[in-house]
Amino acid sequence: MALKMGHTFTVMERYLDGATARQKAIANNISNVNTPGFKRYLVSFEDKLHNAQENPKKQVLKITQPEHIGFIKDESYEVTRDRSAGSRADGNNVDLEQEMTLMIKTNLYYNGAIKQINKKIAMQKYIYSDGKG
Amino acid sequence: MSLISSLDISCSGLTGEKTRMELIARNIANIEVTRTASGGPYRRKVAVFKEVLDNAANQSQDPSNIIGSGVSVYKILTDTAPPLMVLDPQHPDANAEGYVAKPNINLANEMVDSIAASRSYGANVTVLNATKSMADKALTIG
Repeated sequence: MALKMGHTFTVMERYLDGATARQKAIANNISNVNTPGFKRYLVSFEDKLHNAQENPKKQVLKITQPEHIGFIKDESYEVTRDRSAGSRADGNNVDLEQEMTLMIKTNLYYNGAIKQINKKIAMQKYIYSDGKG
Repeated sequence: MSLISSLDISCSGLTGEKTRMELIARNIANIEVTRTASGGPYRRKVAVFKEVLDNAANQSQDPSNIIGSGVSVYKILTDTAPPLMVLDPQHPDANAEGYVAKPNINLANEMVDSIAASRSYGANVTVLNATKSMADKALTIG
């Protein structure tokens, strides 16, 4: 098995970027829970990340060997705004429960991604130490 | 770093809710006040929130800057509803017919508002702690 060192880090870095942006969006949505007419922000990155892995055509650097690491040019996440009316009379469409659940998920996945990075580093340390680490 | 700006956003939410709670406390404390510096009974005060947008959002390469930077108290409005006229001829502020102009404050309304403000404050604290734990976790890399 070829050791594709950069791949895990590239994917996880993009994942952390997306999760950080989503956390910011959630913080902003919750701080504006009582702002009349406020529309919630949404950050989507899972599909983009999946597509980037599935379609290497989007990569900027030319790949001549299968071991090459492809850098991906487009942004790792997308910020959109949910303009739906919502269920409240003041035009605000922030649902506190929904945001809280999304935040817990983001938090868990973020911690998971960091664990993954640490495992990868530990694995490499083990390899570099010739299996004695 | 974006997580630090998330902390600032939650902080703006806390400040906003605190201001709202202060106004509710002031409204309840002044519920019987018939004399004010501007004359007449005390009038109910309400905070109006406004979303804060990042001015540099369009020039920046970072797409997360599209997301606003929290909330601010845009205005403190004074309720224009006419005062309640209560019959109390013994009151020093009673008019010729014996009616006293009292603040038009609904106590139940203020209490419900205070619960809502308290809940929103708690929600912002939860987000603040979650963001903090994420930033803490990021420091363990390596």
